[in-house]
Amino acid sequence: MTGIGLKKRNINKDILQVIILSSMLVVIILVAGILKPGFLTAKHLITIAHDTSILGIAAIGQTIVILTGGIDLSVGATMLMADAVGAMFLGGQNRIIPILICLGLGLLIGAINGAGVAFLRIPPFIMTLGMMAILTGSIFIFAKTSGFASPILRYLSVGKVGNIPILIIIWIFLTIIMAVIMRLTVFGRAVYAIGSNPIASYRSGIKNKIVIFFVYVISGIFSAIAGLFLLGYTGVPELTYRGGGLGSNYTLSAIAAVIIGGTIFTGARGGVERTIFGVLVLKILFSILTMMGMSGSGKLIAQGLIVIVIVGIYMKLEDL
Amino acid sequence: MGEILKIDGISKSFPGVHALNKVNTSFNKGEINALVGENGAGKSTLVFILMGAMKPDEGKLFIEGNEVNIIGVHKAKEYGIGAVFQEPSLIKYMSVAENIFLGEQGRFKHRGILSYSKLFKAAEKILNDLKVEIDVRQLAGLLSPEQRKLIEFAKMMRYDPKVIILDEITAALDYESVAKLFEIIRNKRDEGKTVIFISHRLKEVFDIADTAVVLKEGKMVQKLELKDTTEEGLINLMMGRKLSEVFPKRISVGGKENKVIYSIRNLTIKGKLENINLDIAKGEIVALAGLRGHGQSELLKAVFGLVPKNSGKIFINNKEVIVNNPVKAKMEKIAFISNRREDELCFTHSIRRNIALSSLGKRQRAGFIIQSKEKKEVNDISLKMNIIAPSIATEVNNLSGGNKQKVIFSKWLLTLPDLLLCDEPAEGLDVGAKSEVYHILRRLANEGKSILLVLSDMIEILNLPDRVVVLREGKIVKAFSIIGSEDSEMLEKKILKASVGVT
Amino acid sequence: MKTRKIVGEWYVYILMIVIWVIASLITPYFRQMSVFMTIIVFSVPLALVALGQNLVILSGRFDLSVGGILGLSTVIASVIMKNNLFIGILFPLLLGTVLGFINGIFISKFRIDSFIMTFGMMAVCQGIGLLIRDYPGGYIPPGYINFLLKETRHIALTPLFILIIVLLVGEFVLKRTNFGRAVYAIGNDDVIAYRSGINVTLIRTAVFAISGFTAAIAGLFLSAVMASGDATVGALYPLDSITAVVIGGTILAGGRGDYKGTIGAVLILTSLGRIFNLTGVNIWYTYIAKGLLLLIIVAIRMFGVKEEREAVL
Repeated sequence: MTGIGLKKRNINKDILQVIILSSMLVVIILVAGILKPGFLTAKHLITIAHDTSILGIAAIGQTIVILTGGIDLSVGATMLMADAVGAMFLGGQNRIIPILICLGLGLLIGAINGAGVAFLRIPPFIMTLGMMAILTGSIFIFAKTSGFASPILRYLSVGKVGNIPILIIIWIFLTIIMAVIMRLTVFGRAVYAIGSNPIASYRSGIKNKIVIFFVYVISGIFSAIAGLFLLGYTGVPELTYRGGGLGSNYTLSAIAAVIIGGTIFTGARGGVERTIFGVLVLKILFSILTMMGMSGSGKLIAQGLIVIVIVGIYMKLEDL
Repeated sequence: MGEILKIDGISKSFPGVHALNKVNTSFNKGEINALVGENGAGKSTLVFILMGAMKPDEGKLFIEGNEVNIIGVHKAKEYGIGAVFQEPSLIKYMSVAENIFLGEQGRFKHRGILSYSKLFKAAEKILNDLKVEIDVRQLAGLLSPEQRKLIEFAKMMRYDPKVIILDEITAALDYESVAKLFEIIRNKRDEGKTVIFISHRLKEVFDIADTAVVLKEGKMVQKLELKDTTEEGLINLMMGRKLSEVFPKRISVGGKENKVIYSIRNLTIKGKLENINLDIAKGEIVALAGLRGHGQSELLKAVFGLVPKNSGKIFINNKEVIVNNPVKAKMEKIAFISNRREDELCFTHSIRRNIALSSLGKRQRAGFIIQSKEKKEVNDISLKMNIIAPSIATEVNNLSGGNKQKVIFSKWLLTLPDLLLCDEPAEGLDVGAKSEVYHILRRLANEGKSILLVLSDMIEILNLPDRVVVLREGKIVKAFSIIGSEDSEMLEKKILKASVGVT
Repeated sequence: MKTRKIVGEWYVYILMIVIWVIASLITPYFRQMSVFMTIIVFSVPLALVALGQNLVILSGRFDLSVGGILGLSTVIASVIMKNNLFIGILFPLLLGTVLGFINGIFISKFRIDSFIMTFGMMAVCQGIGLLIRDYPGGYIPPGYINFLLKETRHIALTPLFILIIVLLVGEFVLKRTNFGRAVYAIGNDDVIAYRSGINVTLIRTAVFAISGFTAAIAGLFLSAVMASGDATVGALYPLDSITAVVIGGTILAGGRGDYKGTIGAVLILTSLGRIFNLTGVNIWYTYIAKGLLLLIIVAIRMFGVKEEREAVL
C-alpha cells in the first residue's frame, strides 16, 4: 500500500447518476414526442400531471425510509385508508377536522410501523407487510363507499394556477422542504448515516432508534397526504381491491420510482430530489405505453423490465 | 528435497491498494517457512490467492514445476494446498462435525441418505488423531476462540495437504495447544510436507521455522534462513526502518504527573470478563494484551457503553459515572475506535460527513447545521492529521487505509475526548501510516489525554504503551510497566508467558 | 428446559391445535370432516410455494416472483391442457424452472438485489399471463381435476398425500443432502461457505430455480381447484408464503429454520381463512388476523434472540 492519500480516479458517482437520469428523461420525452405528436403539448402533460404528483408525494416518504435501509410496504394501503376515511368524514363539506383525522391516521400508522422496526427490531419488510395486511382487512370492514371530497380539497387537487396544476406545485414544494431537511439538518445527516452504516452511526452517538421511528412516521404522513389528494382528484374514495394487498400498485410504483431515481437500498446514495426524476420517468414511460395501445398487462411487463434494467445500469456504475 | 510451490510475479490490487506487487519466491518440501511482515504487508492476500479464494491480477503459480490455475477453493484442495485463515471460518449454527466436513457431508451415507451418526464418528476420529478433545455434536458458535481455531485446523488437516498454511493460528491458542501444534507441524515437515507459518510472534517464528520470507508493503523483501539472523534483523527487514524511527519516544517517569483519572472497579461481563480493576492516569498509554478473544475488546466496549455489564463501576476523577450507551459516553468525553474500519466509517460518504458525524450537535442552530463552521473545523482537523485527499468532499472509500484511519481519529477528536479507547489502532496500515498513528497517540497523551489500547502485535506492545496489562480468560493476570524496564526480550517472554497462563 | 426446546420447535402446531379447538367451540361447522378436507385442499398451493420460498429464505434471499409464476402456470395450463394434458403439465413446470433459473442467475451472478429482480420478474410474469388470458377462463380437463381432488370416503387423499410428501421431501433435502446443508451454510455466512469450497453461485441459482418449479406445481394444482386459468390469482402468494415461512420459524436473514414449522404455519393461515368464512365473519378480518399473527410472532421471537440484538451494535 502506498502512502499516497488517494487511490483511484475520483469519479463523482452522484453527478454521473444525475447525468444518466436526466438524459434518460430527455430521451424518453423526445421519443414520446416523436411517437405521438400530441404528447408534448401542455394539455396532455397536464393530464398525467395529477396522478404523477400524487405518486410523487407518496414517494417522498418512501425515499426517506429506503434511505435508512428500510422499506415501507404499507404506503399504498395508508393512502387508500386516508382516501376512504377522508371521504367518510368529509361528506362533501369543507371541514378541517376530517383532514386532521386523516393526517393523524397516517401518523399513527407510521408510528406503529416505526415502533415495530425501531424498538422491537422487527425487520421493516415484515413489519410493513403485516401492517399492510391489517390495513387491507380494516378498510373494507370500516369504510363505506359513501362520502365525497370537500370542495377545497377538490380545488387543490384539480385546479390550476395559470396553466400549472396546483398539485404539481404542492408536490414540488413538499419535495423542496424535505430536501432541505435531509441535506441541511442534523436529522437528515443522521438518516443518511444510518442507511450507510447503522453500526458506525450508533457508535458515533446517533440515536438510531429515534431517527428510524420518525422516518416511518414521516412516510405514514406523506402517504396520508397523497391519499387525501387522491380523494380530491377522483372525488370519491377508491375502494377497489385488485389483490396483492391493499394499494399494492401504488406501493410498488412508489418503490420503483425511488429506485429509478437512484436511491438504492443501501441508503448510501440518493435523495428526495432524485425521486422526482424517478417518478417522471415512470409516469411518462407508462403514458407512452398507454398511447401505444399497450394493455395493462404489457405495462406490467414493461414496468418490471425497466426496473431491472435500470438497476442493472446503476450496479455497473457502482463498480466503476 | 525438491521445490513444491513457486510464486512467480504475483500481483493483486484492490481499489487503489497494491496488496501484492510482483512477488517472487518458492517453497521446498520438508520445510517450515515463516511468512512475516507487518499488518497490511500482503500475507493474508497471498494466502487467499494460494487457496483459490482470490484471483491474482498477474503472475503464475507452479506446483512441483507445473503451472497451475487455482480457481476456487476446491481446486486448491485438489492441488494439495490447505489453509487456516486468520479470520474465523466456522459456521456458528452448525455442529462441529458438520463444519469439519462442510460441503461434503453427503459422503457419510447409510442406505443412501446422510447419516449423522457416521458423520459424527468420522469427525471424532479426526479429532482423536490430532489429540483434540471437543464434542463434535456441539454448535460451533458455542466454542471458545481456541477451540474454534483447533477445529479449523482439523478441518484443514482432513485432506492431508502437501502445503499447510497457518495464518496467525497461535494468536488464540494456549501454551499446551501451541506445543501440540508445533509437534504436529514438525512431524509433517519430517514427512516431507511444507508448512507456511504466519505469525506476529517472532519468538515462535524462530522456535518453529527453518526459513523466513519477508513481505513489506506487498513486495517481497528477502527469503532467508532463520539461523542467519536475529529478531531485530527480521524487524528491520519487515519495517524497512529502525524501530526507533517508527515509534515515538516515551517520556521518562520523572517527567510526568501520575494522576489517576479513570478507574474501573469490579467490572464483570458473564462469560467474558471477570472482576476487572484498572486505573488509567492522565497522559498515560495503557495497552491490553494477551491471547486474542480473552476479553480485551469487550473491556473497551464496556467502558464505552456498547455492551451491557453484569456488574462494575467506572469512576472519573473519583466520581462515579454511568455509561451504558455511546451518547452518554460522548458526554463523559470518552471515545472508542474499534478494530474494524467497516464499523466506524460510512464508506460512500465524504470525508467531511464522516468527520462531522460524532459532533453534529456542536455545530447546529435549531437543527440546521452551520455549514461554514463545519467546513472550517473539518478542514482544520484534516490538516492537523495530515489527511491526504483532493478535498473534504472526497468519498472515503477512495482513501488508503492509513487515511481512512486518520479520518476516524479526526471524527473522534472533534468531540474533544479525554479518554480514547482504541482496538488495534494501526492494524492493516503501512509503516508510514503506522508511524503517524503512533505519533498521534503519543501526542494526544502528552496533551494530557488518557489512552487505553488493545494490542496484539508484540512489536507494538513493547514499543508504544507506558504500561501493559495482560488479560487471560477475562481476568487481569499481570501488569508490566514498560518505561525503564529491563530488556525487551525478557519482557516479551514474560508477557507471552502471562498470556498463556504459565506462571 | 427440555419442554422449552420442544415448545420452541413445535409451537406452530400447538398454536394450530389451539385455534382449531377454539374454532370448533365457536361453530358447529368446524367439527365436520369436510372442513378439514377443505383446509387440506386449500393449503396445498401455499404449501408448495412455501416449499420453494423457505429454501430461498434459508439461503438468505427471498422470492417475490412466485405469485407471477404460479398465475402464469394456471394460464398456460388452461390453454394447452385441452389439446394435450401431458404438455399442459410439462410446459408450465419447465417454464417455471427456467424463470426461476433466470432469477437465480441475475441475483447470484450479476448481483442484482433480490427484491428488485423478483419484483420485476413477477410483473413480467403477470403481464405475460394477462396477455395470454386477460380474464379468468380456459379449460381444465375434468379427469385431471377429479384425480387431484376426488374424495375417497370423505378424505381427499391426493392433497393430503401431497402435503405429507412436501414436508418429508423438504426436511429430507434440508437435513440429509449436501445441497441442503450447503444452503444452510450459505445462509449463515456465504463468505465462509465459499472459502470452504462450496459453489455459492451454483447453489443460489439452483435455489431460485427450485422456487420457480414449486410455484409452477402449485399453479398446476390451483388450476384444478379453480377449473380455469387466472393470471392474477397468485398476487397474494409472495406475501403469504413469506409470512408462512417466517411464522414457521425460519429467520428472514437465513441460515436457520426448517419445514416443520412452515407446513404448520401454512395450515394455520388456511385454517384462519376457513374459520372466518364459516363463522360468517367478514373475510377481510383474515387479513387483519394474518397481519397481527405475523407481527406478534416475530416480535416475540425478537425478544428472545439476544445475539441478534447485540449483533447490530
